[in-house]
Amino acid sequence: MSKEQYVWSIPLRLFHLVFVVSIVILTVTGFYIYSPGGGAVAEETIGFDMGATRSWHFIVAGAFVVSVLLRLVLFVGGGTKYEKFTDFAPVNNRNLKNLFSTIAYYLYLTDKHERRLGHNALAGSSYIGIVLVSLVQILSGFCLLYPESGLWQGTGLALFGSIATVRFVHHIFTWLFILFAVIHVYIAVWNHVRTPAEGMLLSIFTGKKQDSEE
Amino acid sequence: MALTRREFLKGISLTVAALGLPAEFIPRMVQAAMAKKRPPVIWLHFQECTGCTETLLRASHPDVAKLIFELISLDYHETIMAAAGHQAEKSLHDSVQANKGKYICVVEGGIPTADKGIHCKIAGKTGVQIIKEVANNAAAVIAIGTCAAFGGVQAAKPNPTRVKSAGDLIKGPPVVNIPGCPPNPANFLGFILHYLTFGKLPALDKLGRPKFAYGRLIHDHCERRAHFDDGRYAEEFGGEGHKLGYCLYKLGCKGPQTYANCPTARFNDVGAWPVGIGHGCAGCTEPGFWDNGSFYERLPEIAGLKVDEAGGKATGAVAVAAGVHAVAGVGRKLAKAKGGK
Ligand code: SF4
Repeated sequence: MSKEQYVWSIPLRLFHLVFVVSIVILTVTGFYIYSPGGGAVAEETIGFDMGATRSWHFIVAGAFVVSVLLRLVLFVGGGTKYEKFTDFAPVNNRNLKNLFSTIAYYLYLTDKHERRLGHNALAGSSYIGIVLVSLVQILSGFCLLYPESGLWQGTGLALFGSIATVRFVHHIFTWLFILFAVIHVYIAVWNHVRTPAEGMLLSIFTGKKQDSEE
Repeated sequence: MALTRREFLKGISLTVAALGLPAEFIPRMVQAAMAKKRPPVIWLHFQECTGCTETLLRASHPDVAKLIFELISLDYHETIMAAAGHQAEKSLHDSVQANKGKYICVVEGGIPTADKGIHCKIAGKTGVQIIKEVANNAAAVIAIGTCAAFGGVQAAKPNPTRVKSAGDLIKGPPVVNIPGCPPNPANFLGFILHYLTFGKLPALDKLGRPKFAYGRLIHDHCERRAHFDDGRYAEEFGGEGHKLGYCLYKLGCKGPQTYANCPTARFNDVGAWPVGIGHGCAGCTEPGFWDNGSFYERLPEIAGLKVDEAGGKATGAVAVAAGVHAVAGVGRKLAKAKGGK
């Protein structure tokens, strides 16, 4: 017997979509800005390769910022109960237990674990982590975007010590997104293969999961 | 060697331009420079190479250096004063006593604090002591050069003598940082003239640097910037792009993270500056610039690896781990299916 359950609200699915697409674009443009390849652009052409790439990086960064803010709001409320911080953060006994049982389950130490319709505590913790990484990326990004603003220069110096370090951190943290993406997609597929009836991979588009017993 | 009126006016005009003030300020600055009593200045040397003093003295056309000495009364400067030994120390002591709270103290060099400061001693006193006695009693302190402003090369990791900047140690008077390795004499002169004309410190940024000189990134007023935006980069020294004067970004230019007016103020009165002559900016006006990696790389390394090599390796390792995990899962399932039969 399986029952269809509404798990992911429209704002959350929208967040996920914008978050994913903007990260892909920001990573690609970011690597170009760091190390513009492809040889020198000929003079007397339309050119502006770096200028345009930077503009796109900044525009898409705006969408990224909005998506992260949206996720922060949903941590507190406004979406379904599964999107709330308290449903998956390892801050209470229920979630802590789930965290360890999920780790054991993922390491093939047990087949039984507390199924969660929303995020399990391990996944949920990693999502809190990536939102924190995003916040660092946003702050360092604004420091680099507005070098002449006392506010942003002060923020950059207070958080990172020097503007050179801000640049360094902004670059290293890009790799954290890449690492996260690899792990996140692998685990999602792995779970889908293990319990296909649940319909996990589809849920991020439809918002629905099947509440089924294995 | 007195300054001619022409040289005097030329120097003032240059400075007004460097300060970003409109031409109407030239008469006002001329007046201030002529009318006011020359402020007493005490110049202290600590751990440094004297390059800051040299750059001031060796200005190829004499207006800048001469103007500075015309404007201030330099009571103590170990490199250029005629007095020596006890005589020199006496003039320092006298000036501090006579002008307490009124003189400008210039600090050149970082101040070592390890082992009670014994790594830099002058006339039997440690740098830390001299800072306490001399700098703390000044009306204002100028930390000239990156060593005084941020510690400089001797504060580079692992900083064996635990060098601190002037700003870290001085208590009381405001500290203005004029970093650079060496700093542009025009910025020192600009500070002095500003101080004489307006009787107060110029606007400073978050690192205590005058905004007229350090308010903008090198990158944002670099003459190669059009090449940067258009995607034209010098790929190697002496290569085609380098000969054509393309942007030096890929050769490790630190202009995009370095605040200074080098592209406009320039050096040696011949309009030269590093990027202009084909070498990337080293970032010398920024804190910790010795520790920010090679001059020829955009970013420092991680554990001996370039950032992207390290990132690629980490991603590869994660992918391999995922592969092993998947294979283990499949193997386990197969084993179970067999056992179940
Ligand atoms: S040479 Fe350096 S400062 Fe000039 S545009 Fe290129 S990266 Fe920027």
